[in-house]
Amino acid sequence: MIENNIKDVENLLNEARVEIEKIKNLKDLEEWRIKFLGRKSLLNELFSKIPNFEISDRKILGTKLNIAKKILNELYEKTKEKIEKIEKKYNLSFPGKIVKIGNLHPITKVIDEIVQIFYKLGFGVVEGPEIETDYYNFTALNTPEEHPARDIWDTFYLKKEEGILLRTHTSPVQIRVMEKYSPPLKIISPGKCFRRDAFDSSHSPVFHQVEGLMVDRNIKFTHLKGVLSYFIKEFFKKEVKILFLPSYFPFTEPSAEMSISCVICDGKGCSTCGYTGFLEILGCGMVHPNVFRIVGYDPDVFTGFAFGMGVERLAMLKYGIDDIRYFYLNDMKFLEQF
Amino acid sequence: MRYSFKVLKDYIDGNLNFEEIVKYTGFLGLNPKIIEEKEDDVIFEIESPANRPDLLSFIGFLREILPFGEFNLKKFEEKIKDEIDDSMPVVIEDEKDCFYYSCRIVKGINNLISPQEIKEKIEKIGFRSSFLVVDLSNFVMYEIGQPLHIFDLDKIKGKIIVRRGKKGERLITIDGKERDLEDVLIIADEEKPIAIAGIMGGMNTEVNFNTKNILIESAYFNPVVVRKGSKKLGLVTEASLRFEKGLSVTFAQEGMERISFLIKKFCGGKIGKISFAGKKEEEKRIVLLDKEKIEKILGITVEDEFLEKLFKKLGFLIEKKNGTKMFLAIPNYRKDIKEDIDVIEEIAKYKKYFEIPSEIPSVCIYPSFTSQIYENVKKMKNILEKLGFYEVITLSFISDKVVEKFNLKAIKIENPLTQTFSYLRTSLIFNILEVVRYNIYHQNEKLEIFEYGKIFELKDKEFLEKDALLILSVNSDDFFNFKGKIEKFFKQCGLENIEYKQEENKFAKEGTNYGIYYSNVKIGNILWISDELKEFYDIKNDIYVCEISMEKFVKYINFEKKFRQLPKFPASQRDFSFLFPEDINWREVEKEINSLNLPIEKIEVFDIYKGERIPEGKISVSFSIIFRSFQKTLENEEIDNFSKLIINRIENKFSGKLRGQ
Ligand SMILES: [Zn+2]
Repeated sequence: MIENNIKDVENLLNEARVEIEKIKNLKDLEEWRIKFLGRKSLLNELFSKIPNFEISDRKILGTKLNIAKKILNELYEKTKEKIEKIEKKYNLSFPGKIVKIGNLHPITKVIDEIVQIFYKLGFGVVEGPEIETDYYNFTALNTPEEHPARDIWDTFYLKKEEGILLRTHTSPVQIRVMEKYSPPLKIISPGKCFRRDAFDSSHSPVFHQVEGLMVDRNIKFTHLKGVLSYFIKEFFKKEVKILFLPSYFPFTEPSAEMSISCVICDGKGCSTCGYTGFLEILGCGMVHPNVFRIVGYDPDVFTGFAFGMGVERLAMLKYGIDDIRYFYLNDMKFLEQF
Repeated sequence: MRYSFKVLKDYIDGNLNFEEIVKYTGFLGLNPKIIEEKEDDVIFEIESPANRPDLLSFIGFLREILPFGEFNLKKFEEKIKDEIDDSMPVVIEDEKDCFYYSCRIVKGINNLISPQEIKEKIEKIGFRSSFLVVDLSNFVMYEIGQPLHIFDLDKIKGKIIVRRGKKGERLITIDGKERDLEDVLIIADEEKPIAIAGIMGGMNTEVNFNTKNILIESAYFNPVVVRKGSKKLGLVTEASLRFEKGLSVTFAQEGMERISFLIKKFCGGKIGKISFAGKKEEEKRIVLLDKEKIEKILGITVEDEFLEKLFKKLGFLIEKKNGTKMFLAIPNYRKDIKEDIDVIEEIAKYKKYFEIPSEIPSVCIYPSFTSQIYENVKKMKNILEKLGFYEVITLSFISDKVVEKFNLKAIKIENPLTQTFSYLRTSLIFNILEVVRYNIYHQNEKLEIFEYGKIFELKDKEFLEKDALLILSVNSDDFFNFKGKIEKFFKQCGLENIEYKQEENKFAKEGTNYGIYYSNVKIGNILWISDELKEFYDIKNDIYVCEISMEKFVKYINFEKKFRQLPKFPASQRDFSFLFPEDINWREVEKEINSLNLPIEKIEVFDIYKGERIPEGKISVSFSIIFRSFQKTLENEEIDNFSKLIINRIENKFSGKLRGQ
């Protein structure tokens, strides 16, 4: 007989605990109190039954009921306090606490976006050294010594006599890859480059480039256009007009400059695009047969295209940054924006 | 160079308006830029490619847009016959330096002052007007692209010698500067140098108000020699810019004809005989073009009619046709056309790049190799980002002051931009401390940052570059929070059981540098930045740093994970508080506990305390041990026994003392 009653108390406690967990406001809590602690509650009913039991059992049940009442009262008070705290003391319109998370540098992010787009086209990533030789940086790229085109790249020398320099572009990686592997090839190569440029709002002596190279049988100029057009649309995530115009690089022929309709003014003309509505975005071209000859590829069998783009320039256009120096100042207020 | 729309029109028959020029130069990627718009004229510039000296002239420019236009070029018919027998003997010492040198005497010129018409033309294109003969020679250079020089004949002794300058030989050039001529190609007479070949004339033979008789020079110098000379002297002129890109004998001959005509017309005088040295004619250049190659490179087919019309306008003569093959004779003003690919580029240019279709190549799938390093570095950076760190990227240069102050074996840049950027960094710490200083100064005081990049070192005269990673914390966490993040980083990279050894480091506060070891190989350091370094960068706050040498670290990185069975039995925790000597190495304590081979899941330090109520030289360490067996639920009694074993071992080994006893 008493075992059943004790079991009832256990069940009651369990039920009370489960229900109170769900309560979020004082009104529901009051209902809960009436149900479990009120005059007509099961607990009260059991209290009133105590005299019906034998003396030894009376004590056991009594203790049990008192403990249960104490637990229920505690549950009630605790929950009440919790709800009151939320409902009365706090105004929920105040902002949440600031949560700090880390962030990657926008240059890293843009490089990886470029890499991910080219992964989709089956390109792989290869990296090369920042200290280069004259041979890889110029000569093997069909720009032998005293070639007037060398003036395009103002170079930092570490030891000019021995031709040791800081690479002025990522193009030397093309040569290193072609020397090591036979075609077909589909690679891109991101990295830091150096030019003896003044440090101002649009120039930096240190900058990043992503180089690309595809070599196979039957690679044509139309493919160069197709691949780069796909890239630009993916990168800017909007329809942009793309314009290819002739250009000159010693290591590509035909050489081209790719421009896009200005992403700042949508082609209407603004200070960023020099009121032309177009922005030069990257240099590219079909790999010059001399470059193939230098690395020992047969230019009658293989053709290919190469391109190089400035990461800072792309990042500036993508995010609307107006001064290249921000990338290297590393102001937290800048870094947390991307 | 500057072009005058009005002047350009003097050279054509037919129609050409300025809008067309803008359009055509646009198609060709020459990026026309208007310098000045006048009522009857427009002055503009273009971006001329480095291999096209021919474009640096009115005729060359018009020739370039000719295939698009509805006009023809006028021909210079005028040829001047010599009137007197006078001629100047010429010797070229080394024909590798100068392929052709011609000169012509003009005697008794009677006008040295430029008429308004000439003066205007010359000033429009950016020159300052000088003596008429000089103005005319500059004008011819702009007209057809051949630089010329005019000497005062009466100041030349004997003959003209084209030779290299000897040691000690000097010349004051017309800009008034004295130049060292050693090894530079010069023009000399029998007594002295009179000009720097292809670059600038000498004052000693310059035309002046008293000049009566002149010597005209028109030559074809080796472009490499001119370029080297120009670099060596640090002297770039309109002439050198053209010569170094490679002109031709034809240019020189046309230049001589044209200047003779103009001098006769405007200055009068008697024209002498042309004398010359070197090759009078250049080899004919034939390029074989297979039409199939056009499709192979450009991906478009081009009709014969288009090709024939284009080649005619460009002056490429079709000598022979054989099936799909064409033999093209290339004119001397197009030295840039060397093989079929150069002709194909011309075809693409005039087909207009933007009208050539785009397509994605359909090639067989083949796996591209990709750098595992790139992927691993990316994952590493992502882990640091998750741990709350910001990535920074700095310039790779450090200043001479840093190198001196810290006595670094850094690589010096021979031609630095400024002294602050004169060496390559030997560690990431210097530039990153700049970032710290900058941010603190700009009220971003709490910094948790990292940089990944190359560092450089001079080792036995060798230039080395290595990848490095540096993680830094200032005003953010206490040291152990920082260290916890670093340990989490290692763990996420697959490196467990990292060991630390206290070591010396000149950049660390005394006693705070710990070498980081993984399987007995040093992979980095964790340290507090020394006061000296902090002072140098004017930073007051404690700075915690972890530097990792990627060379070693990268070998151990392993992002592959393996599942560990989840526990089936409950865990029990016991807390301990010990007094240790304050120089205790905690890693040793852990190892000792683990060597007991008890069912321990985790040991966790939760409090380290020194100070009040702790005896001098001691440190209180509180830690909890979580016991868990994979076989059964551990009984209280068993755990009590384990605890006793642990307490005994610690007390014996480390003279530790359980607190509260
Ligand atoms: Zn714009």
